[in-house]
Amino acid sequence: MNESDRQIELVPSKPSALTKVGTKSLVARGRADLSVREEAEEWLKKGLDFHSKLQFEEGFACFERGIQLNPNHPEIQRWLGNMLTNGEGVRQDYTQAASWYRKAAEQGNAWAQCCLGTAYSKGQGVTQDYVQAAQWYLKAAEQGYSVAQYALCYAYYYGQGVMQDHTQAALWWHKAAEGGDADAQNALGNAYSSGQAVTQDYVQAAQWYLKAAEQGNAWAQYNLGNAFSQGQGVNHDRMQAAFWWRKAAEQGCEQALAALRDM
Amino acid sequence: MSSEIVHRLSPEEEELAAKRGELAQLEAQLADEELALASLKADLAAFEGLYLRRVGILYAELDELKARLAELRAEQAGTPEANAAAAEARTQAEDAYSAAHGEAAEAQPFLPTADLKKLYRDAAKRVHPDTAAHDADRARRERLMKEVNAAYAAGDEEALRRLLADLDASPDAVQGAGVGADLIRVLRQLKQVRNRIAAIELEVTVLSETDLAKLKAKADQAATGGRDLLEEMAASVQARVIVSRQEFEKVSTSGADR
Repeated sequence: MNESDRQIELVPSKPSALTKVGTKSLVARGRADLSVREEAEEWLKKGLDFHSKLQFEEGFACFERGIQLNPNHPEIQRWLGNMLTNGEGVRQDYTQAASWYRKAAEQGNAWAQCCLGTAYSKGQGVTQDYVQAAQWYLKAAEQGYSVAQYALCYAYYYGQGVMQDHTQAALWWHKAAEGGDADAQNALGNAYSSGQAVTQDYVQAAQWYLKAAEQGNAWAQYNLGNAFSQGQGVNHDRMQAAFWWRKAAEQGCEQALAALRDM
Repeated sequence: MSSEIVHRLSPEEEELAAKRGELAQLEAQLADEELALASLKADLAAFEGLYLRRVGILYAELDELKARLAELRAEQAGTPEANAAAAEARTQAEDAYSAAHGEAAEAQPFLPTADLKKLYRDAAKRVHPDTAAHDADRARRERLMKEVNAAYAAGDEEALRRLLADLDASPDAVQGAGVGADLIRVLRQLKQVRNRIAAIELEVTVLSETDLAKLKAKADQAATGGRDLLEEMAASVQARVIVSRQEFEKVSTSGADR
């Protein structure tokens, strides 16, 4: 006799639909499954908490507990894949990582689709395959995932896994930058600054640098410091230049450190 | 003059008047609580129908796939254990199917109007078996109360109006056996009504503790946060259905290869 059957007996039986054993056991199943999934959600939260504190072993253990309870949880699958890729709290294992990414990706998780694209692109845990990589990037990019959009921009620019197409590259590049991908924003800043691929526009360049710099992108911070130092696209401002160079230097950007020394 | 004596109430009459007032109040409370109970039951039945239609049928589908898989394995293995497992899985699948596609799954959303509630309250006050003055009247009232509950659950305002009109046309038998007898009767009615109120409160508690009520509470809470809990539950069972189907296909083709 299982748990739900025992509960049924406690309630006096009446000829109402509410107390028919079959429907009751279907409801009890749903509720039991729900509570298991909620518990898995708790483990995900705990795991994320540990991960953010760089306590990787504890974090990985939490994700493992969560996936035992809910084997189809795409977010936990992706985190397991991520930590196995990076060897965080567990021995690095690209094959296992790719298999977790695939499970989550097939359920439509954009982040996992992008990770699987990267696995194919680098041949990590799967045979290197640019066509597969581009296909997974595209799936994630179409969902608006900006990291994948920028990766797709690269694929189109160099013709990796897709026909080389600079128009498509530019399109995805802009989408990625507008969607908030800091690398894409910094690169767009570089493009406007140098006039490569777009018409030179220092004001636009500084604006894209600022967006990326505010997200903590060290190169964008260094570039923004340069813009303030030279008054390109923004008013010349030594204080602002020093501020952004210092931010970049704090992240280990040697060029920014040198610029600060030369002030 | 003798009229002075008539105006002055005897202690028994005063007691009777007080108890009648108390009874009237309790009868109103009883009608409210019956309404709350009937509404709770109808709400739960409606939610159950929704659950069965959206999630229950997927469990039935999952069980069907599991039964087919077990039968396939029994066919391939031919062991008594495999046969027993297949038979058990088949029973489970049949139970789940009839539950998910049965009468309960047809329950529609329950949205009572203010009119319907008022009609129910009025009718309950009039016919409630626990406010019966005589045992002889009880059976009739029990039957009427069932009609009232059924009409309410079905949202049938017209039936309740008809029932009230019929009651007006055939008033209850006039009582008149003296103050002492009236007092005993009122005291008995008070006791019956109090017992029924306690029973309703217990029933509401029991109903609120069921899986169905707990699940409904969660779904309601999720809905206030803009989440569709049943949709999430359906998606999770659907994912298992897909996995089971893949497994079934794998086992069936591996059997064909041999």
